Amino acid sequence: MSRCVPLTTLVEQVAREQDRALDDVAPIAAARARFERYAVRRARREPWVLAACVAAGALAAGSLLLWYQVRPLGYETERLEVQPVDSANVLRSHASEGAVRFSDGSGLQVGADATVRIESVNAHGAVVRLDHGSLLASVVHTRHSEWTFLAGPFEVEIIGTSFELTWDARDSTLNVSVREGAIRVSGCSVGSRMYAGQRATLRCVAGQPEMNLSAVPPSPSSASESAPPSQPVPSPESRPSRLSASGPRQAPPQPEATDAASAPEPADAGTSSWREHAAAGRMKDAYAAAARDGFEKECGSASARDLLDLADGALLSGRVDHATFALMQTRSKHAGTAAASTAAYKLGRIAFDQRGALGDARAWFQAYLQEAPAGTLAREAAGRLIEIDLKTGNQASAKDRAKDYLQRWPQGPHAQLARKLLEP
Amino acid sequence: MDVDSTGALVRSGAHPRLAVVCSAPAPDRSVEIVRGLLAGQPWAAMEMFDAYALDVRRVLTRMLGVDAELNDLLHDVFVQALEGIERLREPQRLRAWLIGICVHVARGRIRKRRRCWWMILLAGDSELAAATYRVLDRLEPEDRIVLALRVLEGLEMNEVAAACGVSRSTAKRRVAHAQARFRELSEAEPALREWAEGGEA
Repeated sequence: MSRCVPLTTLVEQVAREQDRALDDVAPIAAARARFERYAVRRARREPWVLAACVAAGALAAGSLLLWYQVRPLGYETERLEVQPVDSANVLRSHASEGAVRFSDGSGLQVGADATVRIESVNAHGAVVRLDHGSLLASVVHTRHSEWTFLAGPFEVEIIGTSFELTWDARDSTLNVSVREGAIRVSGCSVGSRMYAGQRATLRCVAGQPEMNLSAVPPSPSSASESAPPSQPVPSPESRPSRLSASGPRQAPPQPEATDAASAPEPADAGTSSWREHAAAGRMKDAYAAAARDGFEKECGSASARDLLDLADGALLSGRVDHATFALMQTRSKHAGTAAASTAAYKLGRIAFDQRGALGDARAWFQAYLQEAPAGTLAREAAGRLIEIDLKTGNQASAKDRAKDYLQRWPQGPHAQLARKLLEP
Repeated sequence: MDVDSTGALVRSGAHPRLAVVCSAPAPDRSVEIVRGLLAGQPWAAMEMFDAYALDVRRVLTRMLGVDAELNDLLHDVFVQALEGIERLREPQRLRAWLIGICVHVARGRIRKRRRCWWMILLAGDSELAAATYRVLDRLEPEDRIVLALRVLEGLEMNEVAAACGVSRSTAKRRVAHAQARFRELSEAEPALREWAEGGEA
């Protein structure tokens, strides 16, 4: 660029000017006096005032809780045609996926060309019927949850939180894939409990059930495509042991006991604690120190921020399995926090960049956007989703995403790709 | 100005982080301050202010320009710190944590400015600074913040990443993207063009 502005000296001059102007515009003494008043007032808050505030807060919270307990869940739809039929709402998706978001945080991703019927909604869940096509449900599970999914003669009772359903009415075939937790499938004289990682194909032929249950995904590659948004992804080393597991419920993969011994040990890791290294921004050293002390144990006592740091360090050290473990810990131990959402984004990056598992990556990026639609990584997640759609040949969805992207970030890093996609 | 391994421009010698070096307390004081804050001691609040107010004011200014409400924003940062001190797990990272709060406050201010177009920089700004911030105003808030922290304030990439709550690689990518956009948009600013052609004033 021949006439580009030399940032080198421009910023210095601007910074100098700013520094000269600051004391006139924002005299520090005035700000200090104001803050001092605040700090002193805060320290002088009488205990009875605090007690009264706590009591009033508790009363308000109680009323609010009661209200929440009886109020039916609300929901909103995206990219779905909504048609009220009797007391139900029929939701139809067309060429691209649609979504339903419930006020308790639960959500449905409705596959392309699918029809879903919200038959009833109460304070603790809903009755959802899949008339045709596929849906991915992520249900926020509580003790009082009452979610029921129906497809043909089958009924799926929610014990866990995340699963995928595909219903083909033509040959009465239901495909179920449980991503997290557990469900109970019944109907057509069949009743079976399924756990995370299991898939089943159920058919109902002349009232007789046919059920084909696979304990685990058949191969590492398909496992990576189907791995759930909130289920640990097995490390390459741990996959054989998963495949040989005999019980239906599989323990989440843990880093192997020998990991600490085989972890890289930078020269300057020394004997400093990993937290000191992390505080100084030396993530690789932080990871090496944590691995030396027992990575799994250290993750157990780490804060959400620490876990993200450890995941960064593990990634920099080439330990995708440990990074995944730390991020999954963030998701499970700090669910609902910003850190958990960040972990979802990072898991998407790992799936996309390290494992080439586009299905996983899509699920993680979508999870991030669902949890933090205005988050600091929303732009990157949205851009990656366009790339994934393109790589998987989902042109229609890519175009939809490209439109949304350009509306929100017309100058973003994926804007050029999005414009190209939308060219006639 | 130096160029780091990513090709990003970083301020060096001419503007060393003097205020940071001079005003930051020794690490053991950070720990003491945090302990005092957790105990509800007003002296700790004021020590925190005295130690970091200049840094905070400067970081806010780098991100926002010379803003008429700078003192209000400064107050907001310290009030948020005081009220949320329980969330700081590592007392020795007090300064980095405060910069994270600055980013949060600045982000809100940028969004408010976009909604309220009449909020402009103080007239006291030179045309050069005003033009620079006009260009920054046209960047996405996240790009603008990383660019200001990295290039104007001269923070390390790790510090930028920590302040913005993103990974180092994301921060690097954003800085590179923001620089490219800044150059592109600054072509349309006569003050910046003239300045570029005439050399440093």
